[in-house]
Amino acid sequence: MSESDERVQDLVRRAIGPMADAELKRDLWPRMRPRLDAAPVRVPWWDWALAAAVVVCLCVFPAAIPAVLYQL
Amino acid sequence: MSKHVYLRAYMAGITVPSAFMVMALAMFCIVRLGLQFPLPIERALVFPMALVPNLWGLWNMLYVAVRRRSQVPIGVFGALVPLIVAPIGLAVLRALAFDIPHFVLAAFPVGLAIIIAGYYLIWKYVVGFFNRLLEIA
Repeated sequence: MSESDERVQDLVRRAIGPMADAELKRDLWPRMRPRLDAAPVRVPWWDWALAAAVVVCLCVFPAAIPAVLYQL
Repeated sequence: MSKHVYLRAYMAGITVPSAFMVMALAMFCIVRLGLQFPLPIERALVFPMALVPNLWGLWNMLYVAVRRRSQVPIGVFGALVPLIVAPIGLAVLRALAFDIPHFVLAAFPVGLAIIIAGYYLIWKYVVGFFNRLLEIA
């Protein structure tokens, strides 16, 4: 490491300063686990029908696929 | 976890299009660079890559703000996005002088209906899931 690199490091350290209170107050992962393990959402039949209609439409009108991809 | 609600809403909103963007970029590399498809797709990519994820994030922030006053289903709220995204997307293509293939223009009304239905489902189940996960819902 050259002298100028060390000088830049020193300048950056002095400009930013030490981070106070950088640690989390508590572990957030235990709170996230029950939400991830929660019962899956029940999908009503009309939403299944809508999803099927989307797939059928894409098969019948493949020219619409670029427009669909463009909007995502 | 009541802090930065709008920031969390933004992050929940941009997750889906950002994940899709990686796949779109891979498809672009295959189609345009690999198969040498003779259409300048890269000019059109700026819209789905830069604007759409931000619009989703901002729309989810708006949803959080609106929901405080009235109970709007998230699926219905998300299904309104294409009505804003589609005109902007077309305007961007026109501004970039991108020649939209005729067969795509002809199928646009059907495409819009598909997009609205798809957005409804994605917002209801995927964005809704992220909102619940981040304690926004």
